[in-house]
Order: sequence, then C-alpha cells, then structure tokens
Amino acid sequence: MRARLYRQFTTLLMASGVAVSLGARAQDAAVSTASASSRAQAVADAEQEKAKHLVPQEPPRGEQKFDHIEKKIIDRLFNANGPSLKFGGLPTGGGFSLGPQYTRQDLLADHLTSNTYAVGSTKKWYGGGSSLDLHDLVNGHLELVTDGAYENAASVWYFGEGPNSSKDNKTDFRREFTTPHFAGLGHFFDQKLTVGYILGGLFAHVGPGDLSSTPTTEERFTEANTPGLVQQSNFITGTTTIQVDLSRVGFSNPEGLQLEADDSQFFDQSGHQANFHLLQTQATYYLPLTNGMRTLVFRLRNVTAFAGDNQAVPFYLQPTLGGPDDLRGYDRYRFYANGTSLATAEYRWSISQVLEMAIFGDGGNVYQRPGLIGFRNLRGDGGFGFRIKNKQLSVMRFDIGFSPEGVRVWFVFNDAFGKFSRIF
Amino acid sequence: MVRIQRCFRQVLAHLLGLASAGLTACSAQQFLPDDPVTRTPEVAAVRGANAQSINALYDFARNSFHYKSPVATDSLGISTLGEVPDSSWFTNRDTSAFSIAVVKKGGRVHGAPQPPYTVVAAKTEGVSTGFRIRDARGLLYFVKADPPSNPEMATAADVLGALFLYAAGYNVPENYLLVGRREEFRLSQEATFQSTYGKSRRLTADQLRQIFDRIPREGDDKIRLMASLSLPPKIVGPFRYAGVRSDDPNDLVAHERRRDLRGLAVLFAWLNHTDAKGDNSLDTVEGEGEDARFVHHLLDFGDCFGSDSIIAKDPRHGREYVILPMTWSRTYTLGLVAPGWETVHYPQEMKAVGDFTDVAFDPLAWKPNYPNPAFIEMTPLDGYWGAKRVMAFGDEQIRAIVEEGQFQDPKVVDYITKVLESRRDTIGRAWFRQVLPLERFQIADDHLTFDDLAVQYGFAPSSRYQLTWFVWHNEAQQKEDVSTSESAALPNTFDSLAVGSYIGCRIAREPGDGRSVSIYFRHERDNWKLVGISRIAAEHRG
Repeated sequence: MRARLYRQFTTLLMASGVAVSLGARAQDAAVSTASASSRAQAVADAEQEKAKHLVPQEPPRGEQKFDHIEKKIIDRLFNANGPSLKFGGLPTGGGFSLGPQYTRQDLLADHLTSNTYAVGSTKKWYGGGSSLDLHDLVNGHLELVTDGAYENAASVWYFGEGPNSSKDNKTDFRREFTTPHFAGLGHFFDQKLTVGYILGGLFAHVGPGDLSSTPTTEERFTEANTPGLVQQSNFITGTTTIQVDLSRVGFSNPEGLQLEADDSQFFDQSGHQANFHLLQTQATYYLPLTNGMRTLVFRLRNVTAFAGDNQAVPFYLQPTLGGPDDLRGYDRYRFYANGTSLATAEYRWSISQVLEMAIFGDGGNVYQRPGLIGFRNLRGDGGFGFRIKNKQLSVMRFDIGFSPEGVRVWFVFNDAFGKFSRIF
Repeated sequence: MVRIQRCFRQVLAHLLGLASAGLTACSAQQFLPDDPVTRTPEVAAVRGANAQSINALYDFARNSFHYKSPVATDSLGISTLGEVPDSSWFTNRDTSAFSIAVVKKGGRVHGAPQPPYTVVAAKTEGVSTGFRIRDARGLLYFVKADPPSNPEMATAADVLGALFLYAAGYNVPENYLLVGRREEFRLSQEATFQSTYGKSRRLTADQLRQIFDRIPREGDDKIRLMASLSLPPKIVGPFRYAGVRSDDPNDLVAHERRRDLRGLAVLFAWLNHTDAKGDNSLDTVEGEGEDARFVHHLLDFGDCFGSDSIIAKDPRHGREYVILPMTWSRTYTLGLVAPGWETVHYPQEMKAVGDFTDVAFDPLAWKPNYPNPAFIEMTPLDGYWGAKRVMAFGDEQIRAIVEEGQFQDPKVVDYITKVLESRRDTIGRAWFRQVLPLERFQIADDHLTFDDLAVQYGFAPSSRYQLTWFVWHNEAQQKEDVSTSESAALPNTFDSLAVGSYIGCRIAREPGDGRSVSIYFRHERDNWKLVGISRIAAEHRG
C-alpha cells in the first residue's frame, strides 16, 4: 500500500514536471477561407484535404516522454511485482533509507506475497528481511505470515531511565535485532476486526553507538541502572493482537473509532532474568467537522511492561516517548521506562484536496512500574504541521513541535496516528 | 524523419484550422447561400485508425499545473446562428418537445440485459466492483455495482447521467439498471480476470461469489447493477479535450474551441459530473466504407449528482480543483472561516442521493476535478449555449428521467428532482445575465418578433428594447444604419430591397447594459430568412 502511494506520488511529481516544462500545442484557427460557393462545401473541402494527409494518432510529445519515463524508470523503481527500490524500512531515527527489494504478489493465484529486501540509511543503519504472506484464505478470513529480519540500528539515543532523565545525558548505542516470526491472523466483519497470534524469536545484541559526537551509552550508564546494557538475551516471543476498526472512509480523514491492543510475552532463553510481557493499547477517534473538511483527532496510548519478581525489562525493549510519532517537541527516544502514557489531540483542516494543515498538542509521561501509572511528571508540547494527502492517507508529513526542551522539526513519510510499530 | 512528420502535422493542422473556420465565416462574404448550416458535412473515415490511450496521471498533472486563465477565444465549429450543427459529436435534439416516454428511453434501443447472464470477465481492481456479462441474446454489457455504503447511488447516477446527456444532444452508451438474482448469473468456462499484477487468470466460481458478496442487496435479496451496452467493436480510444485527432478527416476544429465541448461544462455543472476528463470518453468508428465515421461518446457517469462512484461525493468536488489553486488564506485562518459550501447540509438519511445539493451552487464558479482544456476556455457565449440546453429540460422531463433510477424510496426521486430543477434555474439566471437571451427571431407581417428567455422563464421582468435597423452589405461586410426606435416594425426603406439582400437589427435592452444581439436576415422570395446571430456578452465580446 505504502509502496503504491510512493509510486503514485513520485509519478505525479514527474508528470507535473514534464507537464509544466512543455507548452500546449494549441492549434489556432482563424476566420478565413478562400471564396467558396457554400459553407458546406468549404468544410467538405477541408475534410477532403485532411483526408489526404492523415497520420496515425499519437499522444502529445510531452505525454510520450512521460510514458517512456513511467515505463522505463518509475515502474521499475516501484515495481510491485519484481525487483524494485525500497524506501524506508528502518526504525525511526535511521535517516533516509533506501535499498533493493524483490517482491512477488502474483504467486498462488495472487494469494501469496513474497518480499525480500536490504536497506541502508544515510546514518549507516542497515536492515534486511524476507517474508511470505499467504493471504485471503478461507474467503478472506485467514492470513498466515512468516518472516525473518535483521536490523542494525547504529545510533539509538538513550538518556537514562525514567521521567527525570536529563537531556544532557544523551548517549547512543547500537541495537542489533534478528527476528523470525510466524503469524496467524483472522480477519472478520469486512476486515473491521483482526485478531491473531504471532510466535517469534528475538536475538538481541547491543553495542557502542556510531555517533562520534555523542558518548556511548556504556560510557555513561551501567548494567545496574540500565538492565541489558552488558548482557543481552535471546527471547522467544508470543504476541496476541486485536484490532477493531469502527471507522469509515472520510474525505480527508477516517471518521470514527479505531482500537488496537497487543500483548507480547518475552521468554528469556539466556538466563538473564528478563522475562516480562508488554501490553500496548491505543484508541484513536476521528471526529469530522463541517462535512469532513476539518477533523478533530484524539489518541490515547498506553504501553506498559510487566516483569515478574527478580525479572527486569532490558532497556532496549523498554517503551519510549519522544519523536515524530508521539511527543513531537522532544528528541526521539527521549524518555525510557517500563510504562508510557500518551494523549494527543490534533485539529486538522483542509487547504486543498492534497494538502492539510494541523495544529497539535501532545502530553505524556513515563513511569517505572505499572503501579505508578497516572499523571505524574507530565511532559507536553504543541506545534503545527503540513500533510500531503492521498484521500484520507498522509503520504508525507512536516511537523514542528515546541516544548520546554526546544523546537523539533520532523519530515516523515507516515501518518501521525498510525498503527503500532513493533521493534521486535 | 519523425521530426519532419511532426512539423508537417503541425503545419497541416494550422491550415486545416483555417479552413475549418469556414463554419463561422468566409473572407469574401459573411453569409453564404447555405447559411445557416444545420449539419456539418463529413467525409468517410479511412480504415486502420489507431486506438489511442490517455496517460491518466500525465493528463491530471499537465492540466492541473499547466492551465491558468487562457486568453478568451471565439468558439469554432458553429453555424452563423452561433448554434452547433449536427455532427458526429453532437445532435440537436429538441429536448423541450420530447415526450416523457422519449426522455425515459433516451438512446437506448437494445433494452436491458436479458437473463440468464453469463459472466465473461471481471475486474479485481479499480474504484468499483465490476465485470462483463453476455446476456441471453449474446449482447455484451459492462456491469458496475454500488458501494455498500450508498446502495442505488452510483448505478442510478450512471443511468441518469447518460439519459440527461443524450437528451441534451451528446452520444452516450446505452446504460441500464439490472436488478436480478444471483442464480441468474452463470460463469463462463472461459471467464478471465486481470489480476492486480497484470496477469490474466481464469475467473473461478469462488472469486465470482466474492465479487457478488460485495454488492449491496435489495430488500427481496436481489442485486442491483448498472449494465452499459458495449459500444461498436471498432474502438479507437478516448478523445482529448484539446487538439484534434490526426487520423480523423472530419476532426478539424481544436477540441478546446468546440462550442459543444466548452458548453458541456454547463451541463456537467448541472449534473455535478466532476470527473470530466478525456479518459471518460470514447471514440468509435461506425459504419462501413463511405459511411464510416468517427463517433465521439461521453462515458462513465457514475460520479454525477452526489455520487463519487465508491463513496458519496467529496463536498470539495465541483467547488475546487484537486490541486491548484490552493486557498492559502486557510493556512492562517486555521480553517475557521468556512465558505458556505463547506457547511451545507446533505441528506444523510438518503444514502442513495449521496452529497448532492442546490445550496451554495454557483454555476459560474463550478469546477471539474481538475482543469479541462475546453471548459477553461469557455466564453459567456459558450456558457449561454450550454445553459439553453439545460433550460430545455422541463420539470416533468427531469422527474421522468430521475424515475429511471428506480429508487426504492420515493423521497429520493423527489429530492434529486427538486435539486436538479433548482440547479437548472440557477444556471439559467446566471448565464442569461451574461448574454441578452433573445431567441426565436422571426419577421412576419413586416414585424420582428422574438422571445426573451429570461422573461419567459421568469428570471427577469419584461422589458423594452432598443432596435437599430440596418442594411447589411454582405460582400463588403459593412452595415448601413437605417433607423433606431423601439418599434418592431421594419423600416419602410426595406420594401425596396431586392431578393438576396440582407438586413439586420441590433437589439439592446437599455443604455448601460453592455449586452446586445445583432441579427441578420436574407430576403428570400416570400420571406425574410434568419441567417445570422451575433451576440455581445456583458463582459466578453464573443
């Protein structure tokens, strides 16, 4: 879906460029003929004359050039069924990423999609993966997915745990995750309800970050205050997921309620006492105003990790706040803890059918253990943004967030209120 | 070689453009003996015409970014009365005289598909559910369904749009409603569908069942579809709203200067047919040998009225282009200053209507989804021509066509009829202010008579007119004023004019009203024949 949007967007940019560069070939017609005995005769003579010199119909020159560009370049770059380029595919903070991918969507009578990719980013983050997605089984109700991926995030920021971590303690670490998954998903009520279970494995490795300008996490923090910093575990994971989409299609945004919940069990296979489970819940409500030309959007999100006695949640799997998708006035990964709460509101208004503006406010906090959930240590921000739209989807987003910690500018290719993104 | 061919084509196009203007006037004399022509002569189309396609994205981007406000140009391909002669594009149909039965039938001669229906192909992508069927007679129909959110909306729009545009004079396919039971549909053993990734695959019963599952059901478990009869087999692709076809000998006038295409904007505004792109048209070659002609059709009316085919129409459609120009003032007003059309109430309780209203409808500012080269060049005279087509529909005719939508709720018929009547009148008021709307000129018993459409339709009170009579010297193209008065009687000096002489009269309403109409008559043996009408619009000289 995203690839198709990129393709359409890129194609549109190319088309507009070619279109603007070439003038119209208007065929002016003035009022004049040689003396003719009748009006009908004059026209018939002209038609007979043209009939002598007919040539095959061709598109205008600019359109021919565009056709050529589309077939030879754009279709190849964004080929949905074969080799193409993959944009994105790395966690937030990796910078602009790009790489080759090979996709087949026509296998088993279009029921099997395979995808293999490798991407690298401007910040030297790398990743690669392969997946098989058997979909539209049992009348569209069943989907079976298996995938394996490797991800090397070279410089993830870490400021310490808890709400009082200092901005000045900014460090970075390298996070390498290798993950296989096997998922079974059921889709019901015209895709409005999705339930599923995902069995997976996580092989984690953490090392010094890549940024020379920032101290590495190991230089500022220890295993004692940052569990998992020295000893990483391998996990078996099991995620139960449920998504309820009670919204309907709107003109600029969806209209209605979307609910999402994931509960992931982490079974430590390395004996490092890192067994826990992670509960993520999110509710998003889109309230259309003035025939959908304006929208109020509200989102509540809570992510809490539950660890048993003598168990700890590794810092690299802790929930975080900060960045373009939650607290937009703060750095990415600004706050780490075992629990995060977030409330966001946006007022969006349409400038045109392809451009929308928004003003937003984000508020949230982090807490050390489930019992501390509440409104302590709230952090807030506000800001505004522009969104390039394709009907109700945001293709590109430009947000500016203001907070006590400064101004943050985000230019990202996703929706501010997107679905959960799992890092494991 | 290609460059030489291109240059040759350009030069030829200009030459032919000059010649084609013969429909409007000739240099030696303004009026020719056969003026006004009522039918454009057409020569045989040659065989082997190429099918063309339009790159939808290029067309969208080029027209969105390229077209600004062009310099106003006169329309071509019109008679000396300013009317569009019959041609392979347009047929003058006396809509106001059509009986109810005739408007309901439209151009439909083959009838709705007859069961059983054999599904021969399907589409699995695109904006709406669709497939192709052959009926019991072997006729091929393209079939589309309604979105589940708005039963009856899109199928009715496709049928009604075709009926209105046919009655107005355009070529359209035969669109029918097909209400049937699933058991009446059979799957052909050779049925195929085009997969999303371009491969042609055999259509299975399971896939067909899934397609049917997406189609809304009527109360008695029947399904409702729109079936469009396939056009003749020689299809040569859509026409463009600019330029001419280089392989059609009869296509002499640049399409953006055709009055029947410029004025179409007014009809589309009436019907709210915003998807006014070249891709929603189709050229066919019909007839054989000397009778072969390119025929130009309008297609795909599923986004008329309140429908956008798969969803109710976005309120912005018809008011703003998709991209440019943007209303930048909204950036700093936070969208708090809403234009009237944004807060319009739509009949949410009638899903079959979609978002269709007469409130805040401005026919002079109406826009398709993106700039259409012909529409953007429309002059007040083109708009006036289009408005006359719209005003020709009477209340009963509108209702009769809307009833062809076979809506289950009679309130839907009432609502759409009422909105169309209101939009029609709004169009009449707006365009009849741009041009002095005088029609049906006649000289009888040495007196001139005519009708003022604004008065006739109740848009303006009756008025007095200033008539300036003149003798028209056709060879020299000069006029010689004779008298000015409010009298409709011909000046006595005209009694001495010989057969073949021309006279004229400039009619204006009152000083200060920039609009006027000049009419020209030729003295024939026993009468004065109207041969020319020239109008000056309020703001634009047409």
